[in-house]
Amino acid sequence: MSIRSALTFGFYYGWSSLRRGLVYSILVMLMPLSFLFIFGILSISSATSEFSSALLPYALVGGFISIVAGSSLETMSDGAFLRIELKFQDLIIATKMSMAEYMLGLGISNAIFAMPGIVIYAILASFFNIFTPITLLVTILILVVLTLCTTAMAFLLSTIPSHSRNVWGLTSILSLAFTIIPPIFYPYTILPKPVLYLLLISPATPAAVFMQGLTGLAPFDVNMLYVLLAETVIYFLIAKRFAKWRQD
Amino acid sequence: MIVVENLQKTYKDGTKALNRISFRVDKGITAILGRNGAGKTTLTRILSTQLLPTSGKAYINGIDVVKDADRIRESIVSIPQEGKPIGLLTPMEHIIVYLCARGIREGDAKRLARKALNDLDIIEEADKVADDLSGGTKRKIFVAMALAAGADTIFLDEPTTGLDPLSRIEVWHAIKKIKGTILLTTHYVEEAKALADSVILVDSGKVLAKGKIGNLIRPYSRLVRIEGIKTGKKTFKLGNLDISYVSKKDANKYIGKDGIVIRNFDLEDIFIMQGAEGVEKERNDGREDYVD
Repeated sequence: MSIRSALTFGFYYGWSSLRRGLVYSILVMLMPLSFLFIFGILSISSATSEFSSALLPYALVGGFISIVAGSSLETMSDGAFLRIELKFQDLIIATKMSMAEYMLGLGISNAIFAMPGIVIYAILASFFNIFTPITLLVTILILVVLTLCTTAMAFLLSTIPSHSRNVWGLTSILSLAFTIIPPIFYPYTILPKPVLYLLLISPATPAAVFMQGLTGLAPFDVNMLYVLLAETVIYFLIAKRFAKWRQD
Repeated sequence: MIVVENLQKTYKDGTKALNRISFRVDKGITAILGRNGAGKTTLTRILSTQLLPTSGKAYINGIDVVKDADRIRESIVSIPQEGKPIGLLTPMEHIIVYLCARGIREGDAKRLARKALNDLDIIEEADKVADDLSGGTKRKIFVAMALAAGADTIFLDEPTTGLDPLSRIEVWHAIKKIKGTILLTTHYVEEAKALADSVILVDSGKVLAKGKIGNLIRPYSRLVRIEGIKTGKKTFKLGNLDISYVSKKDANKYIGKDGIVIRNFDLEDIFIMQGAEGVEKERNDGREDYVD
């Protein structure tokens, strides 16, 4: 696999698009910022202060997960748009670039779109002393793995629909299922175990549970790191096997 | 050189896109001319390793396109039908990304991209985003990719569909600058005539005729097409339109008559004479009468 061609594609497609239009980047940080805003407002009121103040750190930590998972999920819309509307995927198939490199390039481009949001959340997190240098480093690694895992899943799904309109709907549904329902903005400990296990299908869940433990917000569960790593390998292999590239 | 032997493609829904098609293409520009749905894009996608055939063989420079796709990809460029540039990227960035996907280093890609854009006279638009470019220039980005890649075999799938007449001429001029074996699909007769050294006429996944354009038309050179009347030994129906082929001498009596149009024999008439799909033969007793 040539990382160089993936990096070049990811850089040009991501960076050039980002500096000419920030809309996507703002879009992926809107939802976590909205949660932060709501919890912040509610924490001022005496009636809801205790509850909301307790949730504020979760919204901060969850914001990182939400931005990265949300932007990686955009690979689905992006991949489908490039394939169906622009025929860009057809152009690439007939080159030396492999499906994995193309997928990685899309993931890198979407990670670039996540950067402004990550910077904003890093500044906010520094105000609240959420991270130590070690936990910050581990967080960055978790976010990289989460990007790879979500990108693989999103790319696989991008190759299935034959109409762009279906992709938009699917992206919205998955965004809800994968970045709002999982315990990203609330403590995972309040979930019944069977529900938590069910939600592990979203890579955002093990990432969020691990991060909540890492930052001392909830009990630490190192197994969630293994779950995330296993999911990354599984989703990547499934994408490699089932994503439509050279067609039958 | 491209060699296609009994290539067949049947899609999962039962559509037979290619029906044991065989031909050989040498260096230069060859146009695959056919209507929408004739199988042109399916053929291009198979030859450019994007789609697997149901059966049959195809080789590019002796390399099997099915078994050795990775090797084929090193020597081909395939510009897809209705391919559009990415709106927020510039022509320069498009070519760099494409060349890097082909395994060329970024520094070399920049140099090759600049040269290709210069050769196609769009260097001044190298750093404008694609959304701000004209339709013709957008298509030229793809031609520039093919030119910059320096590939041996190039597939251009309907490269000018949707362009205005002047933009088409510009793109044709650009295509002529590409060297190598070029397989161009089109449904425009004038495009095939403007660009191609030889043509392959396809319909319903089959080859109707192939050869140099002049050689294909020459046997019928004494004929003209008359639309709007049934007359003579060769009459056809295309939808509600009556079409007849008569000698130029016999056509004189129809000049100036209401509702009758007389045209010189051209490549599209071969589709009609060969009974392409949708053409109803009424009387057709052989072309031999008209061969010079």
